[in-house]
This record gives sequence, C-alpha cells and structure tokens, in this order.
Amino acid sequence: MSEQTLFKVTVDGITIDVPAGTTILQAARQIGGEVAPPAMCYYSKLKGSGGKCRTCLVEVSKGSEKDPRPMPKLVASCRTTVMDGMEVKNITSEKVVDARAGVVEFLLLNHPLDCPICDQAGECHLQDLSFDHGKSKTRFEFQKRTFKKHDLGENIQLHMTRCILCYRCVFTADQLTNKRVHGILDRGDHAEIATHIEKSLDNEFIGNVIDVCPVGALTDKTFRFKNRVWFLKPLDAHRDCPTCSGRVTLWNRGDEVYRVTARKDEWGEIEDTPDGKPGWICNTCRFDKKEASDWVIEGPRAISRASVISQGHYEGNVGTTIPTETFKAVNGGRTPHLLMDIHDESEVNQPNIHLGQINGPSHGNTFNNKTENA
Amino acid sequence: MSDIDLLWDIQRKIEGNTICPLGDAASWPVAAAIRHFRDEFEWHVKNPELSQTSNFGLQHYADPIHVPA
Repeated sequence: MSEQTLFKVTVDGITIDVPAGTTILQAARQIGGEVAPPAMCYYSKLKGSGGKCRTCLVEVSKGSEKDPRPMPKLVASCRTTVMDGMEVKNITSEKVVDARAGVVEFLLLNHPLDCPICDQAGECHLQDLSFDHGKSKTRFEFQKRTFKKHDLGENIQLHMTRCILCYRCVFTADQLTNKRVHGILDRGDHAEIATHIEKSLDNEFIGNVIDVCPVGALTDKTFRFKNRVWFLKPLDAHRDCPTCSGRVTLWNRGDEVYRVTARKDEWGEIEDTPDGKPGWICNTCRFDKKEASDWVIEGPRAISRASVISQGHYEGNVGTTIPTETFKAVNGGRTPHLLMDIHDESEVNQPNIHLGQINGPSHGNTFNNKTENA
Repeated sequence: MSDIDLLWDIQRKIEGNTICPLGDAASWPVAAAIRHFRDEFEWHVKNPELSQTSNFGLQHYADPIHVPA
C-alpha cells in the first residue's frame, strides 16, 4: 500500500477519517472525550493486548458502505478494525450501556473493594469504570475468591485479590524483558498471576508492570501505604539515565519524592518520548532515585480536572487546612444554640468495654447490653 | 422469584459478550430452560413442599428423592 487509504467512521454521530487498519477504539480516542470507550485490558503500547475485559464493547449499527448490515453482536472495539462508512454507537446505545454495566458487575464480583486502603485509589481504572458505567449495587451473595499477598521481587507486591486478569503485565514482561518469568497460572476461578514457582521478578524494566496495571494488583513496594496519590503533586522531570529515556513523573509532597512513575497520557497509558518510542522507565529510575536532587524538574504535570488528583490544588499543606474563621463569622453573627462535643457525649468513644475483647465486629448492641460480650 | 429474573439477566449479559464461545454455551441452557419452562420454575418456588416429594412421572428414571423426616 503506497498511499494510505482513509476510512470514514462515525462514532456516536461524530465523523472522523482514520487510516485503514485503525481499531474502533483508536478512532474513538482520536475524537476523544465521552465517545471513547473505556478499556481495562487494551494497552496501545503492548502488541496483542486487548479483547479480554469486554468493557470496550460497542454496537456497530452499520457495518460499512458496501455492506450496511449491522453487526449481530456487540463487538470489542479494541480489536475490531474500522471499515469505510462504519457507524458505531457507544454510549448512545441502550444495549451497550446495559452490557457494560453487566461487564462491570462481573469484573467486580471477586474484587475486594478495598479502595480505602489501596494504593491505586485515585488513579484506578476500575474505580473510574465502575463510577462511569457500573451500577452501585452488587447481586453477588457468596464468598469472594481470595489469595494471599505475594512478593514479586524486592520492589513489587502482588495483591491477587484485586487482579482482573487483564494480562497487561504479562505482555509487558514478554515485550520489554528477555525472559518472562511470570504469567497466568491455572484457569477459570483459580487463575492467578504467578511466577513458577515463587521466583522473583528482577529484570531491569520489570517495574513497568506497576504502571500498566489498571487496578491495584501490582504495587510499588517503595511507595506502599506511604501516601495517597491525591495528596501528592505530580511533576514532570527527567534525568540522564543510561538504560532508559529517563523521562518520568515525580510525585512530591513538599520537597520529598514519594514515588516515581512513567508519564501517563489521558488514557492512562505511557507517553511516547519525542523520538516516538514508548517511554518505559527502568527500575533504577523508579525505585532508587528518590531524591529531588537526582532529577531535573520541568514543571507541574497536567492532570485532568475530573481526576481526584487535581483536587489537592498543590498549594501549601495539601488536604488539612484549619479554617481561620470562627463559627460565629460563618453563621452570620449567630452563635449556635447547642454546641455538642461529640467526643465527650458519645458512648462509643468512652467504652467501658475493651474493644479488643469484643468477639467479632462490634455493634451498637454491644454497648447497650453490657453484660453480653463483655 | 426474583432469582429467576436474576438468572435471566445474568445469562443475557454473558451471551454474546464473551471472548470465548464457552460463555455463550454456558448461558444458552439457562436461557432455554427459563424461556420454555418458566412456569415450572415458578411452580417450584411457589410449592416448595410439593416439589420436594413429587417427580412428575419421572419417578422410574430419577434417583429417589431424599425427603428429610
């Protein structure tokens, strides 16, 4: 093909010309915004990824100009290439919205929903997905599948319970490193990311599996439980690294560097370097260079306004500011009728019962019938 | 009774949306059973005692039902 043929494709009523061979998802991403379907497993920088999570299902209401019949089933947009004159319905289709809610429900079936203690919270694709496309209820009444935590090497921790089996980390290890030592072990409900057996991941580029993980299954051990991402200030920085591009995002609080990640674009994927290669970063940059003096800081990183990370406003002490106004000033000059100090009034805060001696989770009755359980 | 609708809803969300045809194949029997024999499902829900003891003329073929005393 000497000249690139352009195909006209319409997604949610917006028409765009894309080169032949583009997938529907990529075409929709070129339009951008709400039109782009979510993707949990597809990663444009990894060859062969996609088609597993089914969150990017779209309805093709017109196959092409030559064959205008609609496709009988919803198709995975990340693996379906566009045809000339194709018309795609994403969020304007009832069927898609319904099917996607189902997919989110299935993805969350075994997910522990431990976002309050998860390091990925705030930049988790599954959080975004369930917020945008899911239902707020689950109909699952049984025990969730659980696994033990695993250490994969000295810098990576694996929480298999959170994993959604997107295979991204497997592709990453396959394509970035010489010898892949981890993969999916077992099938079905027992499937888990594992090394065979209990090896550690110690390749120079293996830290990138943390960046590609859409959920909090693979986390950075140098950052675990140190901070929440929305308290940190992302800064673009670079360093002269002999092994990788050295272009990273630093996550600072004050002058302290809490975490180093690769630069991610608006789809949560790793940005390209100026010479067009994906900007994977090496373990030395990611785990060892935790001093501000190691880096040349370029400036603050642009974060989507919708993201919780941008809520910190990066000014002063992030998060906890004590208000300077008095209650009277806020309340229009009136003092409150009753100012109750909850900590003195509440029984729960002054228990006569030692909380450690309560059998199982405590309940209001535990404190009312003091003879029981005490 | 709502479990019948739940079964129907789940099978409808699996069917046609999976990467593997096993997903379709697993949901079709459920779909067919509910589509054609929904009244029997409902009968079993409504008459729990009777459904434990009677066998609809299939007594000869079926394993004897254990009825707890």
